[in-house]
Amino acid sequence: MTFLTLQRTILGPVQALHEAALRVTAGELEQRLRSQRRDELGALANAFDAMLNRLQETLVSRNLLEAEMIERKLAQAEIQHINVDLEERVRQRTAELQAANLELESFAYAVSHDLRGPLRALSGFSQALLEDYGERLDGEALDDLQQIDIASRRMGELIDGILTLSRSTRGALQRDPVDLSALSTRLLAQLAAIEPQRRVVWEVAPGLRVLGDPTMLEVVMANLIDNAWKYTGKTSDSRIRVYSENRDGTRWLCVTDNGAGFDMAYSERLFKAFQRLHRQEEFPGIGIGLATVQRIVHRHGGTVAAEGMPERGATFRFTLPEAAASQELTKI
Amino acid sequence: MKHKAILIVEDNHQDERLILRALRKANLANTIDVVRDGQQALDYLFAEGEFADRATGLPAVVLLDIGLPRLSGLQVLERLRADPRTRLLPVVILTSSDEEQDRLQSYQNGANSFVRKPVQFADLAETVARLGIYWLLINDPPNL
Repeated sequence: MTFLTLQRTILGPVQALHEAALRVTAGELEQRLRSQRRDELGALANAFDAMLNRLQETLVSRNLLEAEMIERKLAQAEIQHINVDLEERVRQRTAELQAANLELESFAYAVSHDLRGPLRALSGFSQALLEDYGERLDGEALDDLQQIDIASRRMGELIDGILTLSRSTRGALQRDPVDLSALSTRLLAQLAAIEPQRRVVWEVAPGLRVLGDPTMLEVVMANLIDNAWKYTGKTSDSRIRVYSENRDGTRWLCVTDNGAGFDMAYSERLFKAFQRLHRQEEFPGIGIGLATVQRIVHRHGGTVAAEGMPERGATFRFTLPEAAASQELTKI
Repeated sequence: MKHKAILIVEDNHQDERLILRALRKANLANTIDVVRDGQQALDYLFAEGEFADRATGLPAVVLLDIGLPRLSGLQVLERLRADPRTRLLPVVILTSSDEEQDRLQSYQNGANSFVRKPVQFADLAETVARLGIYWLLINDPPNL
């Protein structure tokens, strides 16, 4: 009797606890003893249930953690994949751009060779006609022949212009100190020597030192100063000034003149190749100078701007970012 | 033997006529030969192929275009400089090109001059006449 009581009240629940513990070992965490007893055995069973609760919670958060880790690894792999992909795409685009650039260069090369030949024939045979049969031609015929010669000369200049433009930014960009004051003074003195009859008052600010490609910057200054010289050709008291000024924290290099100027309404056409704001008879030219200037300044990472007023002169300005000085803007 | 002549290597028929006209006007047209591609130029100078029975002797100067069929002018120049018979032969590159790479390559291959053909005939005539006078009358070439 005592034994039976003992078995029902103590050994039974202990046995149940033991079996439950064995099941837990086997991985079964959902079971609960849910003992209704108020004695120590009940407390043990409740503690066992609580332990199972905690165990289950821990397991869930471990699973969550593991899932998160897997997710992170996947994301990392994805990022790596995207990076590789991006690098590959950059490589591809660079190669494409390089190919396009080479194609453009060989196009310019072909232009230089193949367009000049027929032009030489036009000029040559019209000249031959003039020399051999000129006496038998009347005035109008002679003038017609003259027009062929003028046109071929003009086209020759345009071809040279295309080549100048396409070559202006060829090769690696150098970043050397350039003294724009000395350069401008030399260029202006050269112009004054070529046209000693011109009375031009010019002024170059000292200390205009910049970092850039010396050859390209000489082309920039030569074009801007040539323009200033040309467009003050019909101005009685011609003035040209080369200086720098700060605007909104940026240093601008400026060439200003008091010559023919231009109407700001057309300013967007100024920097486009072969676009001109003046008639050939007023000021001859092929409209390649400012396009070249813009190309070179852009290659340096800078900006160009122009201000002008008809008959009141023009100012051309550009920036050469110092920040970009260290980073080589490789040609692509 | 001294064989005073100019060899013109020119594939453009119109350029050929204009160059000949300019030389004629400068009274330099008496001994001029014209060949029309790079291989022909070599055959002429080495008296081979279609020129096998040409009287030997080299011209006073070769006016050599760059863009030529078969062998280019630069290749012709390379072969001429590699052969002891023509190593010292005066060669003037006369071309439409004003490409730096062509100019450099020409001198590297041993050109004596690099002259650009002007587009305007008046300029071309003057250039060609000056070249003729210089290489035929003023220059004293080595005995080849």
